[in-house]
Amino acid sequence: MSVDPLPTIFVVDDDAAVARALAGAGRLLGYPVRAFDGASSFLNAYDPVLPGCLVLDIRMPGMTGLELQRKLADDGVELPIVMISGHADVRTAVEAMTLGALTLLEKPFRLDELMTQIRRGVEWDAANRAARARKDSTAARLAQLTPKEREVLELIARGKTNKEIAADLGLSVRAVEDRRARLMKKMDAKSVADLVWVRSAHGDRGS
Amino acid sequence: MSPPTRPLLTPGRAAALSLTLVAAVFAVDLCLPLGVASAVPYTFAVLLALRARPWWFVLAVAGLCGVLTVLKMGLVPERGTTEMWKVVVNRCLALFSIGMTTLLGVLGRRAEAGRREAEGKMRDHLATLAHLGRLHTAGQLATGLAHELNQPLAAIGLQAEIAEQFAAGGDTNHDALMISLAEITEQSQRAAAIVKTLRRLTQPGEEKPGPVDLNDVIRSVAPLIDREARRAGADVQLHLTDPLPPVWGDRVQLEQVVFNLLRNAVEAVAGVARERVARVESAAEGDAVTVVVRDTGCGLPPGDPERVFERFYTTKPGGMGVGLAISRSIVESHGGRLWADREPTGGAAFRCRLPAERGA
Repeated sequence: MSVDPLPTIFVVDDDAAVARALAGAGRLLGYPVRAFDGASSFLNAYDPVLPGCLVLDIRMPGMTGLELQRKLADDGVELPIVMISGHADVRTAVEAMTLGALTLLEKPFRLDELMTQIRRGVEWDAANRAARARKDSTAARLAQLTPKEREVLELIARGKTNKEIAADLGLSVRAVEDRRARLMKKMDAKSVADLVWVRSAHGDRGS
Repeated sequence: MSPPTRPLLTPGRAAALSLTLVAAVFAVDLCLPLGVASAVPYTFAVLLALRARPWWFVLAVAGLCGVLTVLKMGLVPERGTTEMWKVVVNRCLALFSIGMTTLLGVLGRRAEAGRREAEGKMRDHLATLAHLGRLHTAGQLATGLAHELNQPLAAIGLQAEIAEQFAAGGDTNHDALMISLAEITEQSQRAAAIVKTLRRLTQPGEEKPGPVDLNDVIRSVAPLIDREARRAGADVQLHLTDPLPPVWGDRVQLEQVVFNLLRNAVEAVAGVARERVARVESAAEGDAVTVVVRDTGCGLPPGDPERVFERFYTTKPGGMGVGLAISRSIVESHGGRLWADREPTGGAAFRCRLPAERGA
């Protein structure tokens, strides 16, 4: 695996003075900061591979913050968003939160609040990316299984014993034990519980 | 805005002339024999007296003329070959002329007074509307301003805390500290400028007419529409020609015009599917300065574009329909013109042309 890039704080606000202040907060946390004056310039420059957190003004000329949030969600980008609002009416606030914003800060707010939320966003993103990576590797491992091993995995997941599985599949108990061992090895699982968890974490595709 | 020229025939002069004429006619009348209809010119004295004040002066002159007309019969016995009945009829005709002139004159004057009163009421009414329109604008401005002030305040608050962090951390980052402090100063000035503009807009009448730079007007009004523009997702663009010759006028009123036009443009583009742009352009054209506010919005209502300038004409829910009417009357009182055009793209363009101030 390559070295993870440092989390970047993306600031999108059309008001240059506010953008500079938000960027200052990000730098204070020790993260690299990239500021944009609008949604479209952010979209042009953003690479979803980069981890971090997005600090986004809710109202902007052209594409608004909410529209950008919706576009990112539609594109499957899971960058955490700290929404900034001049004065949030309830409807906009609810909409932003429903669309999955991490939080919504109303101007003017304290530096502490902002830094706490940015930190939270960065942590959330790191956890989310780790979970995704695990999921991806699980998928890859599941794909390596032969149909017969998969059959055994499904039955194990249903809580059946080796004996029952042997009876169901018309095999010897010995053969089932062999397959089970191969399965555990391929899935990199240490126990049956581990095996079942990995399988369900990836969704019940097989059953 | 020029003062009305002083009339040649003031009430005082009219009264003096009227009495002089009465004396002259009487003198001539006395010199002529009874048979001559020399009392008829008294009617001109009555007509002059109509222009004098107080209101009853004309009645007094008419009465005097009547008395003098009859008096002559007693003073001048010489009647030549004329029969007595003809003399009496003659004098009665003169009395009739004086009486009718007085009556028609007084009635005419009353009708005139009624018309003036109606005109005055209309002017008051317009002034009230203009005031209401301004209050309406001020109310909207106040909310816009609250948002607009929030921007520098948010920046100041954050930068102050950032500076505090740097200061607490010792001398490690002197430059960053200076940048934050400079930012605080700059944003304080920005906030102060916003407050100043609002005060000017809501407290009219404090400024005297003078040379006004329309670019300044546009630049100070544009931030006030910021909140509306964000809400509408509208892009407000300024394409200004610098420098611009000044125009002569009332800055607050001109700000009101630009604000009205810009707000209309922003409201027009709200909700349209295509690009939402409200654009203000200024240019010098010959001895005039033009300001064009165009938008990519829903366009003018079908029919005559002039209708949008009628009072109480509105297409906006909650609109009063006075903004454009007031704007036009302001521009016209500055010797300019304001009119509307359809844009080829489907939006509207409002064009304002004001005479440039010469020799400034």
